[in-house]
Amino acid sequence: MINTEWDNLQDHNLVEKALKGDASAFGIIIKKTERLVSQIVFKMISDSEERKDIAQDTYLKTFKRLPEFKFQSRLSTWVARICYNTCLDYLRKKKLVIADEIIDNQQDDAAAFKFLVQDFSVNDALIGRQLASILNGEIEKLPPIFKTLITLYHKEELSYDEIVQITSLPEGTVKNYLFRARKTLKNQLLTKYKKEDL
Amino acid sequence: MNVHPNDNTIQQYVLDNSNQGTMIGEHIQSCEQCKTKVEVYKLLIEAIHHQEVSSFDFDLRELVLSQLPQKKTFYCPENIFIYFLLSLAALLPGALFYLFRKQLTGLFEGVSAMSILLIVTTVVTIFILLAIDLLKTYQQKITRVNLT
Repeated sequence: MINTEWDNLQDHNLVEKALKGDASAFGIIIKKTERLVSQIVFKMISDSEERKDIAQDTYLKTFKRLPEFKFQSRLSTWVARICYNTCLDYLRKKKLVIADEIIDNQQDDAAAFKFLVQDFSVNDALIGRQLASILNGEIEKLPPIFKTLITLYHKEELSYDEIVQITSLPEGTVKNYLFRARKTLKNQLLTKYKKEDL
Repeated sequence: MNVHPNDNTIQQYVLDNSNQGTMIGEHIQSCEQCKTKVEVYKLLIEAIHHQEVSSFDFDLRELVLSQLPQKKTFYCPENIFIYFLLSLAALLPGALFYLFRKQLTGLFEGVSAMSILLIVTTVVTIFILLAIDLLKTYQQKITRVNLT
């Protein structure tokens, strides 16, 4: 709680200075929010050149709209929302798939479950990282919004409320998408294990 | 509870430890199949957590800051031009008054000094207010152009 209040105070000071024309203050805002922005851009946009343009565009828009920011949310959440909307606009302009339907008719295979659990242990951090690299490829196959939600919730550990503020999706939809994304990843992992077992 | 909970319920159980003592929790603890599913989801969530953080391979901060409109200094060319115009606006009436002082003095013959003072003060005040308004409008437009 104290950290949040301290962060808010820092953000207030930074925004005030940036509005008075202090470029270094805005530079600090960029550094503070860059990680979250990069997570969203990398998950929503697959083209590396476009990522650079979108990241720049995000912060130029942030600078332009800074006078409108009234601290109704955290500064990082507000910047992330601008980033997310910029990515969405790009995907819609290019008519790329944003969140297509995931067909889920795979039956659970008890044997595959057992092999997966035997080979990897939750308590072994090294093994966890090995599974992470296998999972990386599977996460990349998810639609952009699903990838983004999975990262924001499990990697960045944002709350449902913060994710709702960033994406403007209803909380029920966010939860539903997360459930479906996790189920898809589970099924894809099991499919891999079934094939290897053969 | 003999019916196995569905996938969403299992996920909710993994995410929310508070339902350990419920009927669902008890079933999961006693059912090998469901217990294994829970373990799989725990592994999955742990693995997502171990994902590498994506980062840009360029200096985003420098790139953005270089594109922002620069803060104007007191002696920037734009301000110097404005000072020049203001000086001209102040000197020109004075010069004209000096050159045509005899004709102008004749113009105000019979008019009291107080009236002359009132007229001059009113004209100068209106002029200053118009100049300030013009400058503000100009600065607003320039700011808008810079931001777009």
